[in-house]
Amino acid sequence: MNGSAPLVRLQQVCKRYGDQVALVDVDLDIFNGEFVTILGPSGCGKTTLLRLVAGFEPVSSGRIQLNGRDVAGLPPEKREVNTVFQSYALFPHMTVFDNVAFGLRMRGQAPEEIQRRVGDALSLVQLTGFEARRPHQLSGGQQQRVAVARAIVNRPLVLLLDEPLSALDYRLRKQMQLDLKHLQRRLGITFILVTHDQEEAFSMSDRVVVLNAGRIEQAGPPNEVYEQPRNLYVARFVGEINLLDGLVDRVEGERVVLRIDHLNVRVKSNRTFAPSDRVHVLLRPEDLRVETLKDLADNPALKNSFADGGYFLGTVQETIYKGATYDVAVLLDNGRPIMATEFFNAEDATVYFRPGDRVAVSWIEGWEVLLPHEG
Amino acid sequence: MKDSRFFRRVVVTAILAWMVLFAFGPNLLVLLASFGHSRGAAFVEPGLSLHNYLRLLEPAYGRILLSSLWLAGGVTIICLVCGYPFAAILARTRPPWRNWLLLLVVIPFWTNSLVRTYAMIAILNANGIANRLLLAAGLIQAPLPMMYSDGAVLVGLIYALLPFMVLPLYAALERLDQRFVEAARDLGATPVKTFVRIIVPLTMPGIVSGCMLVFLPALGMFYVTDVLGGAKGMLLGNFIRDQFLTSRDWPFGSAASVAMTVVMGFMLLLYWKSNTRLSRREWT
Repeated sequence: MNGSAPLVRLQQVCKRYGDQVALVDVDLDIFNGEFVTILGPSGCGKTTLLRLVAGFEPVSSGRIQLNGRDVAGLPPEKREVNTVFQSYALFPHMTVFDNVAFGLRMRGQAPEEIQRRVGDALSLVQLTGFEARRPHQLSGGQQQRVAVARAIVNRPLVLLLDEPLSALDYRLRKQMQLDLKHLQRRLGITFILVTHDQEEAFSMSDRVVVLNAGRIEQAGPPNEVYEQPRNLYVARFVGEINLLDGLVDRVEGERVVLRIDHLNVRVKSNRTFAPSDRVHVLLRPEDLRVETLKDLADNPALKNSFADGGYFLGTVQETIYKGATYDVAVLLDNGRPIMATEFFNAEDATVYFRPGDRVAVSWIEGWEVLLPHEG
Repeated sequence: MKDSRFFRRVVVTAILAWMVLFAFGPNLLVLLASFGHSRGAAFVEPGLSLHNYLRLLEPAYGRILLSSLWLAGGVTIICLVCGYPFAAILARTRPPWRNWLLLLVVIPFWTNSLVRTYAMIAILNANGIANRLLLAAGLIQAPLPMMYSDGAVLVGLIYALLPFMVLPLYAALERLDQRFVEAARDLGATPVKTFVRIIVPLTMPGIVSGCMLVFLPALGMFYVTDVLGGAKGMLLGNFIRDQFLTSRDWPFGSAASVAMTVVMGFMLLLYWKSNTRLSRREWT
């Protein structure tokens, strides 16, 4: 295989069920050794995408290539991909050993080879000694690890994981996210993971593909998707956002002067806008700065740290304790609700803001994202 | 509260009394009779001997037992082979069509099976439907003698018992999680290997209960042999009936009946074992 050719290539892939459309014109290249996550809400077509690659269902149109070969018409057993199913689908009538050995036996490996490789796979997922157990005698986390071992023991080109952690509780899920990521690094196998959990997607993958209603909205490294969402849908799906509507007043090089309510705000954007374009200004809660008017009056230096063009006035509605941080819900005087995330001071672990506080809200210039107005 | 408990007690007592009177009691009488002797006017003379059971092992009777088991076994296997694909198709069909197919399976139950067995004559006769079709198709020159043969009994039993195979198989296949099949294919199993290694073991409770529901009646449906096989074919059921009604040897008939119950019990045990082994499965 030459270095730059994608391992999995989807070209114009469409999938329809009757008159229901599951995937539309999906183009996606996945390279060897990548950890790619398909992220989207339920019903967006992400599991369908995985099933098409695995070969459980045929594409309606378009092409899927695996290692440079068109896989149209190739049944699942002939594709060098393995799947970790959402419900694990461990064979209930077989022991852990027989489950993991199943793929090797189907490929006619020698018994000693099977013994060795099953042992290796089980030790990789820390389940040595569980060979004789049956699936129902294992905990959810252990079943999940058997499912992973059963797939990787075959050394597939690509491992497909269909929401593999969704049935586990929060702590175990965190642990398994790390374990899976380490496993992927160690084995060098290409992983394609499907999830609806953006945190999971960001913490595990090299690249995130955001899918919505059968279309790819954006594909890129996690930080890019988070910091430079291509549209409102992506921005909303990959975390909390605050939205301000503005009108382009004038363009000064790579800076844009916006009119938002009574304010003229200077912002940066790598998109091109023309005067009088309507725009959305996207702000993550953690990018917002909130200061009480009292502090602002006491300390004029604070004001200079705000984005050029001033700030919005508002009233604190409530504060929501989150452990390491807290959220401040502010109702701006223009009637728009805003959510800002604040960190506790090192010396003072009490919530600084009180409901009813008059505050100024702004952000650090350059941290905002500008999108053309949608609708 | 008190009323409902009283009501429940009455119902349970009534059912229990019914069972004791009409199921447990007669069976106990049969068991006792099987150890007795047959003497003239008294149908059964109480005793405690095993000679009726030993007589069952005599070659003449043993042959009936063996041929009956052989025939029932054949019926069961043919029903299984025909019923499995049908049940599989049934389980895969989408609901509106599936209900119609299920109805087709159940419709024969609406007619008494004795009547249906007589209807088989119209098909298997020398100038019956089967022969006329074969003649019309030019496959045979003269009508085949189908009636009054072991073949006719076989066909009659299969016809009567096939639904009892299809329904439990359908229930098992319908319950089978399709993801196990996909997982097997994903791991490199061909459709045939998937069937042998995954589908058959996971639907084993259905297979065993279907086989039981076919095998046991196939030993005893004496009227099928009477109607379609003349007097030649002898099922265990014919034999037992003849002991009671013709030979008037009640103890001997009872012994044969008990032997059949033991076979049944043994198969129930097998079924229970295969069921508990699989029902312990638990997946989330």
